[in-house]
Amino acid sequence: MLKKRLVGVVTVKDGWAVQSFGYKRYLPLGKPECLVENLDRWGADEILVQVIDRSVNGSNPDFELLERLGRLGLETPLIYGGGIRSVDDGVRAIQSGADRLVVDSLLHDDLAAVRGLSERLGAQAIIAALPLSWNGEHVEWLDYRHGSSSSISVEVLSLAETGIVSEILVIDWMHEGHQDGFEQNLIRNFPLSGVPLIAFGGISNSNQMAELLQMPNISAIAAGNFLSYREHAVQKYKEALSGMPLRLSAYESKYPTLTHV
Amino acid sequence: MKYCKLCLQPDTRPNALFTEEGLCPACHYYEQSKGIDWQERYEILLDLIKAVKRTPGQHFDCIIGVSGGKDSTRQALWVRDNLGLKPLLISLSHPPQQVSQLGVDNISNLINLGFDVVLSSPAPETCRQLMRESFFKFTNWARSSELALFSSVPQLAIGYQIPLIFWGENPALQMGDLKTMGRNGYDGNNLRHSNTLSSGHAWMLETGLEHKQILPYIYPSGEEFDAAKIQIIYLGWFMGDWSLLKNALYACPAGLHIRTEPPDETGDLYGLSNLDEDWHNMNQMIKYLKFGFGKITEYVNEELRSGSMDRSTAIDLVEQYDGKCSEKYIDGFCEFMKITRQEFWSHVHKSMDHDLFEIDASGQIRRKFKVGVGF
Amino acid sequence: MRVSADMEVLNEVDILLLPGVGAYPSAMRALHERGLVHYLQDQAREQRPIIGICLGMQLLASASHELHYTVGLDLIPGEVVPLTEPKWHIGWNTIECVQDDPLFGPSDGQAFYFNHSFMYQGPAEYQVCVSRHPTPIPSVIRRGNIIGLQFHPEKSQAAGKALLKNIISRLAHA
Repeated sequence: MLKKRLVGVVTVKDGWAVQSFGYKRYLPLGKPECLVENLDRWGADEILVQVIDRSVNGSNPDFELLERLGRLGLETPLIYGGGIRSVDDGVRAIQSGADRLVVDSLLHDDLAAVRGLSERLGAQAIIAALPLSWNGEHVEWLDYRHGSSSSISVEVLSLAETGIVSEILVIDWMHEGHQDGFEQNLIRNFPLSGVPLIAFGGISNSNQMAELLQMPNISAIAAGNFLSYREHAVQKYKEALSGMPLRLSAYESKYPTLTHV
Repeated sequence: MKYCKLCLQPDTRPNALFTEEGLCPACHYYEQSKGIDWQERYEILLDLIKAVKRTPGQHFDCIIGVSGGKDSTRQALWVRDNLGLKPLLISLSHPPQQVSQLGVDNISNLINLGFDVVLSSPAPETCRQLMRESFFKFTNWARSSELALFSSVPQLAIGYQIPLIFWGENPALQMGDLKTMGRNGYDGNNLRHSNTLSSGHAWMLETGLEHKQILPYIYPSGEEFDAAKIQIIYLGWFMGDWSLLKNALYACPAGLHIRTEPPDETGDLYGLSNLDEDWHNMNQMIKYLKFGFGKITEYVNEELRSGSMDRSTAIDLVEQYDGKCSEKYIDGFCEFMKITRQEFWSHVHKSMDHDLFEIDASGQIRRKFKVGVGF
Repeated sequence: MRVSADMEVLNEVDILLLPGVGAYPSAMRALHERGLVHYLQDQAREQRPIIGICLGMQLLASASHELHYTVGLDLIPGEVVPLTEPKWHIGWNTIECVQDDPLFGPSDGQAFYFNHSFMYQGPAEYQVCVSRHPTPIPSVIRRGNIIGLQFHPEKSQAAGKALLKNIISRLAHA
């Protein structure tokens, strides 16, 4: 049976992996490679590396980072997002080591390029990231470069409906980093049904995760801050979620277990 | 005034000595720590706590003083979830006019995480009076509050008969306050000799207050400690990665809320410290004027040691933000103290180190030293 | 482990791994441009072990309907057709052995990472394992020493490593 996924997210800013709070505050965690290695070892179902300062600075994807990650010999699927501006950028990111891509600003700037990426790499390799908020009545889409929110455009919705992108990453940007934060209305009232959604932003406890995993249009849940600085966090969440349609905890220790320090 | 070779700590701190190689005590400690077997230390801790058994009818294994901030949140979680002990947390409240929403939220967070918390609130007017005395006598309004903070924990431990007290870092090792050095790196029973606690409470009685009015400020005597078999242990000695940033990185995913104001308002690089009220940050500005270094220096020093920041970036940050404090915090303080801005500044200027700073023609305070270089 | 399109290099290795990301037509075009289509077909005739992964598995088939009809390597007869609802198979899914095969028996019931939208359709005798989508789709196909894996063993952590180890040690010593 196909399982739903727990995706480990590593947010990178200015070359450092950071803990991120509501798109406003960032605390440096350390080298992205270390966090990615941990998630790989702990058995995350996919690892998403999102580099958040590329589009803002008009830069292209961080290919050097991808190459460094490629040298780690990861055994977990790697999703990359940040600064993909064209089909060439996307192809090069895949060649540099990513398995799937996330596009965000491109959805505002160049939908033809999104279609081009899908044709070239296959829709299963393309995920559309939508930072969303709930205004009490409907879902609104953030343009984070300009700081303004509006309804999701018809064109973007049709990308999902017509299968140009395989999944949508629903980012509850306001609650990112906040415990128990994720706004479930973003999923329940998402304007399309039948499109696989990945929930991200403020998902920190297993009750929230269980509720989300039981929603039919959820294909995966993603967590960032809450997987860092907690020993075997991925394992612990999966153990707490036994009975849910999630792959069982798969952490393997090469060393005999002494004590947890 | 000279600076540490590795970080941006100047040699102006009381009770601190630089090594022959020109390293400050914290950098010296950091270098030494690289060879430490943390697993071995962890096992020492496990042995120590095995020796401390709960007396019958006692619900708690140990006591931890908490502010709800990053250090205490991390400690509480570590002691409970890692060591498997049941801690009683004690939080000393600030007067209602001083405490911040953030502080209250963070204590709530500890309660929501399942901890038992005792809140202790010394009489606010006495507190105000003592803060005023502290400010004018030591140019450090927090001298009295710190006495209350440090005293509250052993007082409760003695009263509740819970002999094991956990503090965070060892000031002797990690900050260089050598007078507090105990029998070994984790023994905290000499904390009474620290800069703060050694000033004692006699000066409070001299202000006309009676003994019974200053009970929260009286650190229990050595005899009282011995009678109750109190043992203070510094957890920092057992944790390989105790630092401002690391503690926040552990505590934030567990629900810690941090500041959103920028460093030029708070003098705090990431908004992680002094969350439960606004005047400790202001105190860092005063410390900066007295000794030439503030909170920003502390943050960059950690990153310089770990190699995640280079010296020139660190110097830029210190030059830009160290000692900064928004007017709104100073105004709030003056209002509570019932003093004018002039009274505030004239007193601060008196305590300012005039070798380090001068006041120019327009009344602005200027550094006379070059950050990272000294003179 | 070497990555190459150079036949001299390819001749020296024990097993040929054919990976693949992207679309069928451009992958086949790339193989043609490098003269590898005939090479692989010759090698297959000489019982050289060849493992196709994901798109690589689909390339082993006779043809695919992805984008437009494209002829494949025809090493494991069958066609590649779009998945029916749901259109994509993304995530970790278990494989079920429907034939006895010591290469795959030890991995029966383990979960591997899939990421595709087309599937192999062909004679049952070439289907060693299936996965449920929820209807069964071929996840491992085999004909002699030619093996196709629809999932990514190299992205399937411990299970993937164990499977690859098993396949390689058995095939390389054959």
